[in-house]
Amino acid sequence: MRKLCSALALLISVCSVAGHAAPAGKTTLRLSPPSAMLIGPYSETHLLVDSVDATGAAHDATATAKLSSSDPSIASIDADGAIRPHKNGKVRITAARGAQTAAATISVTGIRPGTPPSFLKDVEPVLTHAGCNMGACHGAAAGKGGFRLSLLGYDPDLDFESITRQAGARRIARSQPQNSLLLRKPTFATPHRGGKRLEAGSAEYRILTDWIAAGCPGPIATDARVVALKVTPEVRTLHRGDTQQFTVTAKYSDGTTRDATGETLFTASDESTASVTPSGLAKATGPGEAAVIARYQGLVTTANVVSPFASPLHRTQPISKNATVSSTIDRMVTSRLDALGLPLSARSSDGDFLRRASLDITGQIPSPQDARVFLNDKDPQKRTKLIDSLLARPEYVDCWTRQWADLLRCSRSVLNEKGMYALNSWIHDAVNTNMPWDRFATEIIVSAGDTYKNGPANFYKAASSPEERAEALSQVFLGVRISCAKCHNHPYDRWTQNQYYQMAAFFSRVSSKKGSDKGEMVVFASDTGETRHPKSQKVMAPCALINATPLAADFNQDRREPLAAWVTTPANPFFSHALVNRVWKRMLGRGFVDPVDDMKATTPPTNRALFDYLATDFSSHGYDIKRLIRNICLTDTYQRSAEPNGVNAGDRKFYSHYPVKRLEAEQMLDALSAATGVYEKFAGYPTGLTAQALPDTQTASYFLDLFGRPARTTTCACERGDDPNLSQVLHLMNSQDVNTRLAAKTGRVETLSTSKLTDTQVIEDLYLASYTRLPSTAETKRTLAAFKKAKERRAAIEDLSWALLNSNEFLFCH
Amino acid sequence: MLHPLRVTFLFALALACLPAGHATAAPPAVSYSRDITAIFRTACLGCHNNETPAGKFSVASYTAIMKGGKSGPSIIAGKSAQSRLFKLVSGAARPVMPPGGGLRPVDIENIKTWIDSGAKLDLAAPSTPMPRPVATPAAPAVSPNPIGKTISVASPVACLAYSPDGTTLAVGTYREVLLIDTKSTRVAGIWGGQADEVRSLAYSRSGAMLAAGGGAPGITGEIRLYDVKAGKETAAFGDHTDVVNGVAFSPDEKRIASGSADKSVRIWDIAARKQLALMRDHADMVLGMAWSPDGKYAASCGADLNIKIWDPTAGRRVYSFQAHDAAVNSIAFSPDGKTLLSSSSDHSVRFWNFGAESSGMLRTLSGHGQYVLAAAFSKDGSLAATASADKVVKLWKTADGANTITLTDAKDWVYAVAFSPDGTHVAAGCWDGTILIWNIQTAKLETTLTTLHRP
Repeated sequence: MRKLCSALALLISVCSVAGHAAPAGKTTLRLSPPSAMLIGPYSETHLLVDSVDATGAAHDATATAKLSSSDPSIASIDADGAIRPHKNGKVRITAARGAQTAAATISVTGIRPGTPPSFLKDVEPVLTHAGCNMGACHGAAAGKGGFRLSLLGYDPDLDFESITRQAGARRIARSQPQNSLLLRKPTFATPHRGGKRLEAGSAEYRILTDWIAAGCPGPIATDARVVALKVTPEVRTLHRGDTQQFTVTAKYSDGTTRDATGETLFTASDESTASVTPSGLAKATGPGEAAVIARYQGLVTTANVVSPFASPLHRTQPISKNATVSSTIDRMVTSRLDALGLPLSARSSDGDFLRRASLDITGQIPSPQDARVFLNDKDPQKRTKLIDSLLARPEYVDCWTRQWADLLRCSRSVLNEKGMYALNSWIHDAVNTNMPWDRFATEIIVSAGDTYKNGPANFYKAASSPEERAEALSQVFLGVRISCAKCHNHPYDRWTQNQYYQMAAFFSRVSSKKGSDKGEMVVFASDTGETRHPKSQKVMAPCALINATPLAADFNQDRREPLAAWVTTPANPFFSHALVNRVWKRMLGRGFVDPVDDMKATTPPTNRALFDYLATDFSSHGYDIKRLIRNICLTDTYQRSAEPNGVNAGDRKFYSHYPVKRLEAEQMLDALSAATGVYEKFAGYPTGLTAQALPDTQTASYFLDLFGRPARTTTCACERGDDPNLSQVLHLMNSQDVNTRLAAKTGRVETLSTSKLTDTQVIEDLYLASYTRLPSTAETKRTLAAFKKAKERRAAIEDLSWALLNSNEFLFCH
Repeated sequence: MLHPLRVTFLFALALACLPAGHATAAPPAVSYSRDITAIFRTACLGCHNNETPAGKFSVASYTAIMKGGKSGPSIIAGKSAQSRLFKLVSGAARPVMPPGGGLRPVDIENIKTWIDSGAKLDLAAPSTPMPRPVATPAAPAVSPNPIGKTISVASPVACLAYSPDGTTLAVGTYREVLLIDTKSTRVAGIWGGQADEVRSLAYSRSGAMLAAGGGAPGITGEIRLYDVKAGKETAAFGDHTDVVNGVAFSPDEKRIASGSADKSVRIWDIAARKQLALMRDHADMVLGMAWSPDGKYAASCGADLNIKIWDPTAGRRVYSFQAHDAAVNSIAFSPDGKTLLSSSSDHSVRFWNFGAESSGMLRTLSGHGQYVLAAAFSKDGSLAATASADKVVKLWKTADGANTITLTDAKDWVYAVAFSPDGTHVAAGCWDGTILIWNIQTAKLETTLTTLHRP
């Protein structure tokens, strides 16, 4: 009996160990693609082997299956798994694993004696893959050791000249190709600071030697260029520790395709979720979602690795007829969380919701009176009504004015005092009237006139050259950073240097002259002015970044009009997405894309379907920001507790719980003032003006600077800092800012200590003022005991207030 | 007849006098001078040299090696496992050296053995600089480890020079100098055995010697001297650490100056076979070298945009100025020594006043659409010729800078140009290995040769 039990136990344990990796039931092997073409002697292909289980789920078996060719003289398999051609013909490649097999056909064509490698198609990818032209080496602006290549090969003509003819042609030895410096250095036959980059005798090495032996043929105008990249598989779910091989196919302008896996630069967007080797083997390292980024010949594309936190769930409701925007948001968020197996946190408490909504919408914490009213309210619609009332407050206008003023660099040091006020009051009016965002953008883009009288014209004072204006416009309104493309093609995104200067060209006919007032600038559209490409000196025709055609050469109106039209049309995929991303980040702590103004091809959104949905909803409903905020606040997603629920503690991207966010500098100072009842007096402004309502960030305030107030020298959202440091902690603990407020004869502490309220009531009031909630029974009990021990009642109240202000519950929005 | 006992005694004596075989010291299994320097020179010296010691560590001499660097001593004699140098090359510590891992297992093993057996020096002096492959007439060295087979492709012409008597046109190309007989316009002889591409050629004033500057890029630079009458190589100087791009004889033929991609300018005593001066001032590759006709000054030009004037006897720089907006590719003195001619990758050519009183730019010639790679004076100084990456050779009057002739027969970048001493012809050499000779009077191309031509 015992023997049977232990045997049984052994059997069960074996099955359960095997169960995870190889589900019981019939598994089949699949080879993809089922057929491929190899054109020319320098092409290669990589086949993926999947083990498909009974449920239809595929698991990567590329590393464990054995490949064989039916005729190695036509195409054979190399040690690195690449299939390389030798002569024209057809072969059958068979994959075998255990008893299972799968097959694919490879046709080889285009092998003609004397066909040299193509510089564009064969040589450039080798230089990129070996790292020769990366930014740290010869792709740097000044090159290295006198040898300069274009960054990641964006300028093949320059590369061709550098390699074959510059420096007295010292890099190639035409009559002894393998002795060329171009080969000796990377194989380390000659000392090379870049180290060993190529293996002598490898396929890449042979491409270079064959190319030199053929007389170094250069790029020609009719060469086919890469027009698209595809990564296979496009998405794969992996468990932690699982691996997946990815392959990349390049499509050319002549319709041909080629496997580019061997020369693709692979990186991962989030190493905490997945890592990827230089040969495209990804491994799930933790839960979440990451993009496998593939870059080849100036194009980038991504594939997704999804690594669930736990087994998938099935909570998503079907689409209902009465779906509101908010319920749709919830459905899409939940659908994402289902796939990842993330539990949802519970609904937040009323106090937490009141506090966070007040901070997110108006930038202020609620008063104890407002808190009491809300907490006692029995109306089931009270949260909805609260959102509407917050949106109607003047503090909402101040809060959101400040955000746009940050981005538009509203600062007296940039615009002079009058310009700053003009811009600030224009933004204030715009927010107050809930100006549609497309009109807001348009008024700024086409603005003209005196900067002291026309607020939006200050955009042209803050950014003075066409290049700066194009960069500012792109970052602020499109959420796209094009500045990398000023000197070379963007290494991580699709933007070329040409596109950069085509955008700048929209602004080359904007002039300015001095206004009547000192320091005033008058902006106007002029008739002349061109932007030239810095290298070719060619005049650039204005052309928008995507889905656009260049302006006609004879266009002689204000070029900013068509620019504004393009920015605000649905054909421009960035405008609505950029705004939605900013608002979503403010409310939910992390944008769909992070950083919030850096939407790149290589940083896929955390929830693409929801992101697209909200962007379309925004643009088809009048670009109404208040409506967007309202719809987000009405969701269950927004109203969830910040308290994690089991496994979702590790979620920082998928919105399974509300995030914990440190108060912004202005929020913190205003909260400190409100909680202590002592308001800041800013130099030059009346008492009672909140930090948030300050029109620029030049008003002296050590507190605000300490907590990351931006100087408004750039248009980047990243200028506002939230890094913690010791000075901040010490300031909150010991500073005059805090101590004077506690000791003040006009503050809350004083009022409470001289009032007739009981200790318990005092404690409640302070908790409500700081935490927007009542103290728990245990907290009250503890605090009362401390009061009793205190020598002086006022000191006890001060101490309690100080303790509340120095706690995370006060300093963070949750 | 010897007594048997005496024979035995003599035999025993003879035996005792034989070398004790294993008792005498065998050559060390791994020798510093033979094995270790070979490894370090290829794999380490590029970054760890005295001029730019990465990590403050240089392997340029035994002293330097044993001194260590900013991380402390690199070698603990007898204990390879604890020696930082061995840990880095064997992968026991990071970063792996050399970057990318270029050492073979046998190299790593040799380093280990050498350290464990005491890291001994078996060279004359501990500060002896790391030996370099030096070409000598006795053993003409070739490129250290030339790799791969040769194919029949015309290598680029990097330089050319007419002999002063006009009978020979020397053409520098890959691994050899072609000697073309100007009368028959055929290749009459080949001076082979060069390390790599020959980058500059110069005849001494009397024509007795021909100097060829070259070297293996990234490894060494050499100047070889050829006795024209005897028809053979007589001397070589190999101290440069990168290719020699410019050579110039002193007018009295006793010294020769060289400018190298290693940024240094050196003066050599030909008869004594000795380096007289090593001058470092250029911030980038030196691309051309010239010696003033009065023998007092040498001039160099470089990728650092500068022209520098040197006192070759005192061994120091006398003057330096930025001559162009891009690399300066060539420099030449006018025959009367009063003018300097420079050509540049900024597409221009400039004449400079060379005199004690006022130095300054005299004239800029524009007209080439691309980098100007070479410029030369005619023997009487009345004409200048320029050669460019725009595949054009232009002739100019030096008096007024007028462009008199434009020759467009070249099909690729023109790297070199020279006037025949009698002023009747101008020759140029190109990237595609062609050597073109034009008649100046008719402005017509008379001869086309390639570097594949044999005698």
